[in-house]
Amino acid sequence: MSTHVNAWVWVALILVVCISRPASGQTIRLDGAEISVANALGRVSAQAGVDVVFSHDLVQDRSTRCRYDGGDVRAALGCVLQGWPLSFEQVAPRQFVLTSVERATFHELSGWVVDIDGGEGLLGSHVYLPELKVGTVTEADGAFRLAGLGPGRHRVRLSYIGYETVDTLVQVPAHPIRIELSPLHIGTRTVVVVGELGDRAEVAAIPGVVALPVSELLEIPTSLDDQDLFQALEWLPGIERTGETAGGLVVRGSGPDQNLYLLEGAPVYHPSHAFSLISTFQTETLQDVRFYRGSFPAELGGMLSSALEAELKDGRRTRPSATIAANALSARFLVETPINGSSSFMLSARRSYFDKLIGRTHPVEEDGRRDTLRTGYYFYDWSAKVSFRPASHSRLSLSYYRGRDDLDLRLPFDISLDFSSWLRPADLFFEVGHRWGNEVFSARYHYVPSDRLLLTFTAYESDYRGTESTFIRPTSSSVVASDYEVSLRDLGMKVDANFLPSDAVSVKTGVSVVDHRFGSSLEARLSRSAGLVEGVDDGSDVDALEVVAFVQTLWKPAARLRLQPGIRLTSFEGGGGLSVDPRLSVSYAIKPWIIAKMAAGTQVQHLHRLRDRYSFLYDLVSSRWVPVDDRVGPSRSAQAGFGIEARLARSLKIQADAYYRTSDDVLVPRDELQAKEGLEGPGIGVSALLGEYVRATTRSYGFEVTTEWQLDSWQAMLSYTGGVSESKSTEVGEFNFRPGRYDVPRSARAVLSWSGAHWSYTASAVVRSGYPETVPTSVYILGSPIDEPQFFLHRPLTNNGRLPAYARLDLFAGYRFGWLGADWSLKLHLYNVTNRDNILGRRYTLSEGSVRVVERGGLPLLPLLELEMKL
Amino acid sequence: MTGRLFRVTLMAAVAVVAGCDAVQPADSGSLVVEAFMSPGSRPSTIRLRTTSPLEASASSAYGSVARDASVTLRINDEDLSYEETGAGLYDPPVEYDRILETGDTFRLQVLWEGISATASGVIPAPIRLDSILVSVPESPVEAVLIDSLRRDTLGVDATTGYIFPIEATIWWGSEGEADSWIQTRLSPRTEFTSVVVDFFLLPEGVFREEDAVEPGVPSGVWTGLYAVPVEDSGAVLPTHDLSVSLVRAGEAYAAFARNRSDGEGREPPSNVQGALGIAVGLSVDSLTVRVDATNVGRKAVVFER
Repeated sequence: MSTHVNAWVWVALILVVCISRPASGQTIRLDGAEISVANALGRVSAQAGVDVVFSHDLVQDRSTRCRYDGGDVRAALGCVLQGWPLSFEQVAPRQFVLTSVERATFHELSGWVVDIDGGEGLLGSHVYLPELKVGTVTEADGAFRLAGLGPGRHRVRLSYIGYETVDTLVQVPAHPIRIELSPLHIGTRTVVVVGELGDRAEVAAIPGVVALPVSELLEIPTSLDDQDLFQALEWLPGIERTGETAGGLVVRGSGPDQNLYLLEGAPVYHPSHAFSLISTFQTETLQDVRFYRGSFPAELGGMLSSALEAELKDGRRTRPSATIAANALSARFLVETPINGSSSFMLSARRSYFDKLIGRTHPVEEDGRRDTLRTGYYFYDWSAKVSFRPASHSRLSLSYYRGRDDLDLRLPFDISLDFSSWLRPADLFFEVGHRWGNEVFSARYHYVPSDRLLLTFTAYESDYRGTESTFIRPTSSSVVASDYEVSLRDLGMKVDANFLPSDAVSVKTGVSVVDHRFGSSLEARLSRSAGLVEGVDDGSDVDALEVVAFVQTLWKPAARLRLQPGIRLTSFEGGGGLSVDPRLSVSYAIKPWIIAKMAAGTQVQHLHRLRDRYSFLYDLVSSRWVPVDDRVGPSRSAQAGFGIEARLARSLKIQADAYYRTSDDVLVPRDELQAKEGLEGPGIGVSALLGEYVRATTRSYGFEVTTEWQLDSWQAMLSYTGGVSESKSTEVGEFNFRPGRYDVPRSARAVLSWSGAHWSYTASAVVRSGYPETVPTSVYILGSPIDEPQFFLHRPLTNNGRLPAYARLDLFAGYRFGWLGADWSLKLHLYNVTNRDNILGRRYTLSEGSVRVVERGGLPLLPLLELEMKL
Repeated sequence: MTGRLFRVTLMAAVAVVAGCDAVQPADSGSLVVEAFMSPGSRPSTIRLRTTSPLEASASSAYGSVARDASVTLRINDEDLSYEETGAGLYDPPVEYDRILETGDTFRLQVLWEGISATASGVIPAPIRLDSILVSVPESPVEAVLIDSLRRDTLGVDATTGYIFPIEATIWWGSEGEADSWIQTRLSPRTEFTSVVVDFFLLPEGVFREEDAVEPGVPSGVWTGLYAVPVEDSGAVLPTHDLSVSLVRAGEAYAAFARNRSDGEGREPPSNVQGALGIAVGLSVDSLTVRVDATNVGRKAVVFER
């Protein structure tokens, strides 16, 4: 025991010494004679072997009579500066920066380095002040900050791989600046410095935030659609999909209905196409993406788990460009163009073409009878944005998004693989017409009335609508017909004010008012036989007004410390009262290359997503959101996170995050095993649907470690997540936590890329625990008063077992070439290259007392091609 | 060689990352209680079984009974000790002659090998089938018999054939008791196997009794639908027996009955604390009537009390 204690004591001592020991060299001697401070600092620098960086303005006409004999650099510098309003800061193991303690001469330069074309932040850009010999490296979103600068004009040099290195002059003090770099191939040396008050710096203070530049998101391999943001995000730690390649995002074990998706500030309630195979967020059309896996700043809320903010590109401001591409699922184009010197435009569209290949309608004839079978399915997106800069202090942007899925089938029941057997007139058939989609319109106006105030006005309408029509004729005397519609329309207005009372403090506050309108209707006619006809005609329309106010402050009490407290107040008409949600995030730069982050806060969710879990007639593809009322209250959560981000070298970055979240009054299915199996469910009434759910307490905790490495043409990302996601509901007798539906205890991902002038290759692999499953442990017999005894499977606990581990390797190869004056890319993606048979689900059935296990496998090896042309 | 090396590496990674999660749960053995108490009769036999391992044969599952249990039934305020009369069967003492009446409450307690199971219930009013009416179409109708959409493979073609869809309406005496639930069941006893796509049929119902009673009419009514497959469009209706069952019980039994026949052996909700199974008060009436070609083409009353 004592041996262990001694070992720990030694380790602790070594760590303390390593961490706290100042730089030292040979003995430093100053003899007390009066010399200039500049001269004295030079002697300390030379004798100790350290760099002491200072502006000559600071020490001009200042002298010292310091007498010192020792090896402590800090003590020597303190001696030299004694009596003067000067201080110093160690910014690197052997580098000190001289600063003034006079408020008027202590400044920080901060801002963002971004790509001139898309506006994406450039991670790892070097920001260097050659005269002071100080510099830094930009963070994930291109943000940087340099403290301890004296007033005046400073020459700033910016460099980034693949971009023109530029020098510019910046007047300090200055507000956060935005510096745009041009890629090398453009051949220009355009440098635009735009003074802006932004909030990107606030993001950097929160652990668990993914703020990758869009250019990097595009480099992450995606499985089925090269532009799918969700498929790119799922390679990041803590993020899964509910299915193998389809389904909503599962963030740190929470269900997809707890994620907030914002496009241009407007919510998107059903962000997927093709039965959740791909998302509505096309990475290529986005200018900025921020994904909060844990705590959010106070300006965001409404969902418990995570938040995704995305802004559309506003078009290039230098020259027009166009992209046209086609892959296995869809074809698309993107056009960006300046309109004039102060405005630009972006237009993008995507459409699947499977229906064009096989045809939407199939006229068939047999024995003089004619019929038209239908096999139509397609989806499409339109995205457009117009940006105006009428003056240097204002900007207006108008954005539009529309996405739709359309499924139109009329088929006989006999859908075997032999087409010829069912492409004939059918007396017994079914028709399915499902249409769903989002439409978002957003208008934003940024106005800078003064150097220290930014006002943002946002007005939006977000409309989600889904219709499901079904017509089934299983016999010549029975007909089943239903029309189901669900809608959610949000009409919102927001006013945000970002105020900078000083260089160390910025305050952001805002008010929003949202009118939610929820609609649903079901009209069904079940003619089971000539005399047995039932009908359902039900519907509801509910309005709910939500008013939100928030205030958050970014306070930098010291150069290395950022505090971001905030509070969010929410009033939701119909239930829940006034919700008060405090938020706090803190970041501290232990060293210039190590930043510790902490965040905590609470969230409230006033919308619940419910579905009829019985009927297979309706509620199949739509998202049915219902607001809180006197029958069901809001869900609430509290979460905390802690993270460390270290850039160990220019090419190596490590990030580690730990998190804990607990949520109350989350609605979970009363019976997880209930499957849609009958014509009639309880209906669309909220009270009836609530009977299928119970309130539960959920919790999740874990840690995530990510290593990113980039050197020349090589890039690698390795991540590991260890986490627990649990649930319990006393309403169904669960008094102990059990694994949640999306509990994944272990998950590892690796991506290795090489990119050359023409060729690029990526290998990506994922290995994770299987999702939980409810496994029968025994069989038993039970009778009834009117039946023979039956066999049943006993499942003592929900999610008491687990599917086998999931593993997959994907390979990607791309070739870029020039042809006909355009840049072309040919991409080949090999999905599941080892053709591993992953098990995604199991069903246990009984036949004469014997258990049969039916397994559902994942996708096999799939080669997927994409051709892209850029003008 | 490279491929094999990669596969080995991948499998090793899978084992390291997620291998520990693959442990599947095991069963420690549970008690299964089955008790149905009806009005107008002595307290009924209580059957106690146990769960069996998944790999057990059907015959051994039938033999998994709970012996040497202590069974006590409290009826209103009177305790009654049951005696073991067979393998897993427990009955009241022979000399016990009390008849259960509507409104009696009971509480069952079973002690077996350290397991304590309890359940309680109320004896409902008796139920009686008054009339049965069937309606048979003139000729069979074409129907999908096997649906390739609902099979595990699209390699199997759907097949169509012919069926007689037969409506059966039943009436029973009822005052529309607010807390009562009704289970109805049509069980045609025929020589053929029904493989018809059955989602449009209605051979069974579980519903609140008050929903089946017209205001001012002292009876409940329900109409179901079952099918009799035949060879071709010219076939006549095969003569067959139709068994009609009617149960009146409380909500616990309704939950049990509603989820009992999902085809995948999913266990029904239990009202027994500490064990599996069902222990409720209920009243049952059932009849078997003959349906034949004489009923074709008209609404025929095949039974009337």
